[in-house]
Amino acid sequence: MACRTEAPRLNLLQADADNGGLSLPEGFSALVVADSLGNARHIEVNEQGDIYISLARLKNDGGIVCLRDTTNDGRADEIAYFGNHHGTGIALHNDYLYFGSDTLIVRYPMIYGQLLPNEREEVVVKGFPHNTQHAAKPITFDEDGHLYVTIGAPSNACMEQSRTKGSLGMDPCPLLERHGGIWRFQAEAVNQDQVKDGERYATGIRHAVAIDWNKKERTLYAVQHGRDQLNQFFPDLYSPQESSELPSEEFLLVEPGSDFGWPYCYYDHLQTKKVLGPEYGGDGEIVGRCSAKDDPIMGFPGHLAPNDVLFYTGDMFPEKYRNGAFIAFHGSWNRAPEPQQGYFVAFVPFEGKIPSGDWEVFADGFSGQDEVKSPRDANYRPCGLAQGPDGSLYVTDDVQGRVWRIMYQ
Amino acid sequence: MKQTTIYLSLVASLFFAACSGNSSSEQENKPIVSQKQMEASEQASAGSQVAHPGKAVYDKYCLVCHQADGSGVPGMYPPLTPNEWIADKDKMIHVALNGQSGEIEVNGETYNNLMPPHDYLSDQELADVISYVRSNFGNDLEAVTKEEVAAARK
Ligand code: HEC
Repeated sequence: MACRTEAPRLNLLQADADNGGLSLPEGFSALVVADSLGNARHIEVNEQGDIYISLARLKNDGGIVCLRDTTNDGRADEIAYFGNHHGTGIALHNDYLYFGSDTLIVRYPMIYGQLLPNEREEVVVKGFPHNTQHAAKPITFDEDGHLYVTIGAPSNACMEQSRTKGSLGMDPCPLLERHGGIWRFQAEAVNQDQVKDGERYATGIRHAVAIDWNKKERTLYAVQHGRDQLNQFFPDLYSPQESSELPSEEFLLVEPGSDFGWPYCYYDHLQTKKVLGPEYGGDGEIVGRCSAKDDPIMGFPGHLAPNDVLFYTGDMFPEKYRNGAFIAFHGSWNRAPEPQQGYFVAFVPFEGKIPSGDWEVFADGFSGQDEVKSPRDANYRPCGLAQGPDGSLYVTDDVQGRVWRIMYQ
Repeated sequence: MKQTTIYLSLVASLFFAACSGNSSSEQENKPIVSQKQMEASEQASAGSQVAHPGKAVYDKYCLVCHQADGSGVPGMYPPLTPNEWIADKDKMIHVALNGQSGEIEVNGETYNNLMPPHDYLSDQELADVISYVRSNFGNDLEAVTKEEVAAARK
């Protein structure tokens, strides 16, 4: 029919009959934008709807995969691999595509209308320590010309011997000088060095793969991966069940100078308080020096592995979701012998700077299993989140490289 | 500088129970079930014919990373399903005793992480756990003796 071409763009989008395998709240539907892209981590969508995804490993000689839908059906039909680095951080900022490999932040100029960025690479920040644990470098920007980079601690709880039973925590923990926090750099300067040019914006954060600048509140937020193995190292203090539930994955409102207490402290959402870690003399209840540390705004159950956070500013989703936070939980490995948990996208409603209610599961079904005994059982694991120009929510998976677009009505 | 915050937390066990559709009474029973299971596995390791003596050591020291079924964690912890590290007795004893770090390839996937040493385990415990891995998760290899572990310690 002739009127078809005048229909709003959304009408051409047919969700998949099975919503790409996801279960969603009433009124939401999803389609698979692309599949088998590689180990798809974080994602950005520009004003034209072009999609940029970081890859944990190179695929087709590229560490960034660029997607375009030329037929307006929501499914990518141009797929191109780009860039020599692999990693997690990716963000579009002032006509550049920034990329956070595990050891380097680089950027490429975007050319309007073209899917691929220009190949002229500039190094934005170098000189990061080379980690073999918690090496991902997620990035975000504020409106005042700053770039924020998580530098994870290459450690569980700063023990003298890494992850070894009976080994105590180093005090003070020397890792905090170069790791275990969020550093701030200039967004537009090139060849910055972590030590010379970086400012430690916040500390005491073990590793926060999920970081996002909330533009409305002009505030940085992060979600921390909490420490592991309380029961393995301290069987007299923690049962296997307690160790699978604790400590919380902490949702952090990050202010300049914040100190959230890693490795000395962890948050316990069942007692709703920060307590001293057992490597530093804690017994699961003693608070000690942790009373001086900053608390999270919310504590999620242990080990769910928050890998991305996004404050929703679109107008496609119902009122309840506006300015709230979506969090992609990659799913646990460290709840064994209990069943693993997570493997979903959660939603946290917000009022101003803080949550206005409890969290809930928003999108589930990624694992494709009733129960995940070990992570390899999961078909998909949610890892990255982005908002499209029409207010759709995009979710990536880093097992097979699937991308979903979640829509309302 | 302590932030003013509200604590919104959730008793996750209840939450997960609701999610998976368990009734709350089942949930209340859960710790008891786990307790029974734990006793059962302790009994088994204390001499029943079904459980290998290395299973208790594995469950306590290795399972957290390599998982109950030995499948590991993609990108983090390599699987203990048949591979060259397990096939080579000396190599396997060495890894279990001294740990392992740096980039390695296992069954076509690369890992670059850290496994801590387990030299605080006794020769017998190490021999048991290595033998357990070498005869489970699809492996069907000869057992390792505590003398072989003792020799590798030196
Ligand atoms: C804290 C986590 C952790 C624990 C606990 C652990 N491992 Fe490992 N294991 C690893 C990691 C990580 C590697 C790979 C190291 C690397 O990247 O170089 C590995 C490698 C191995 C390998 C060689 C590669 C392979 O997949 O075959 C063997 C064999 C092994 N572990 C056996 C064990 C045994 C037996 C135990 C218990 C006594 C154990 N591990 C406990 C993390 C762990």
